[in-house]
Amino acid sequence: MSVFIDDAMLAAYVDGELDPAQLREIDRLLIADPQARYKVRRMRETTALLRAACAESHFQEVPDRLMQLVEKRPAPARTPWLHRMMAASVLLICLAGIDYTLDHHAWPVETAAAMNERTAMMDEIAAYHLVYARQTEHLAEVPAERREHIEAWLGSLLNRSLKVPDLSSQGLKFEGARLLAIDAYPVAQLLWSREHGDPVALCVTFGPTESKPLNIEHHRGLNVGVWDENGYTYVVVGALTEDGVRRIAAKVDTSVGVGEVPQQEGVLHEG
Amino acid sequence: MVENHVRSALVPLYPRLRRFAVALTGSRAEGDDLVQHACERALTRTYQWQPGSRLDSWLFRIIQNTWADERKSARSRTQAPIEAATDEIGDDGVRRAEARLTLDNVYRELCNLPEEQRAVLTLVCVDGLSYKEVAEILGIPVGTVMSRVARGRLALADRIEASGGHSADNILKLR
Repeated sequence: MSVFIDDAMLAAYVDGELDPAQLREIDRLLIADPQARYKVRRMRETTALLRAACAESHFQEVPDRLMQLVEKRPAPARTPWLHRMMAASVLLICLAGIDYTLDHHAWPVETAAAMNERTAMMDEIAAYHLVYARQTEHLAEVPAERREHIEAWLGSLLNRSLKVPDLSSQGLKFEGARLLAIDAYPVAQLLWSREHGDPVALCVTFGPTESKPLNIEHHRGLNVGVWDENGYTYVVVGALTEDGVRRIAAKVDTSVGVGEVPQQEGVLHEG
Repeated sequence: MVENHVRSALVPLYPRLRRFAVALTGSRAEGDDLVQHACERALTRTYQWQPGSRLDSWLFRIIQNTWADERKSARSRTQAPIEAATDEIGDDGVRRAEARLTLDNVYRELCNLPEEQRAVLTLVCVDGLSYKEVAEILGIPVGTVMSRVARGRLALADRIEASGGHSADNILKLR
């Protein structure tokens, strides 16, 4: 099949918008045409710069008038765990912006309540997993073939660079990703299948700035591992042994890269 | 309790909504007003949002429609000068000289692009939305999104280079 290739097609190639036949055509063109390679490289560089220049951190001061609008509502039944963490994050960033030294002990979290909310979140993720793990044809919302898009999309939602870890050494095949929402906050869910056994998921969402080591709990018949690092919470869930959870957690790259230029293709995809 | 869901999502989504509004208007002050008006409008129409569909896309669409309405009305913006990006972004306190300047320059040149290119570049390249999603938000064909993304991205690359911009070396420095 011959495909007409212009700048728009090259842009669609960069953005992961082409079907497999079109991708093959462009790949062939890129081998043969240095001008096309140059354009694709420029588009990728520009995208990387644009993402860094327009990071969410430059736009996050929420004005009072919006807060007043949002708060014109009946009191919520409970303060979501993530909401508290997000509010605290905003506070932390604002204070950091005026060179204010913030002591970690000033973190406005009631520990016991936060732990309950955290347990609730893990339970909710386990519940989601039980539903999705039964899906054979539609395990993931975005398939593994669109890995670059997945990393860009979910990374953007979480305001960080996000790498899909290579778990092939654990007998896991990457199947794709979903976006979950817990308490209205985005949770990136990456999914792997196994030749023998149910799928496994890694969830990433906003978390506290204070790091916490891996802790494994049992929810809904599944081992669920959770830890906090670099301002994000990571959850590994699946029908795994505790050792299995630990092995997968050890493979996860938790570098955040907020405000950095995302790495280019080839460097980004270590898997 | 769709309304509560939408309300509680506005704060975490705010940076992305604001970024899109600023990209549409080309001005931070007008973008701030636009996102406020759009959020007010969204809260009066929460019944229109389908639970299970993407809330961010729905809100982007409301921002786009609000902007279109405002432009039609007497409140249409004057051609406000694009503020210096250096005053608007990067409140780190400490200037990380070259890297920061490069990114300031990128942002400033984005603001100098035509509105229709700013909008698609923000939604596709920064927010990572698909062409189809962007087409639905902006009410234009997918093919138009495709051509605007291509033209806008190459135009931005030209502008960055012309203004003493960047090379692949700069990207490495920024890591």
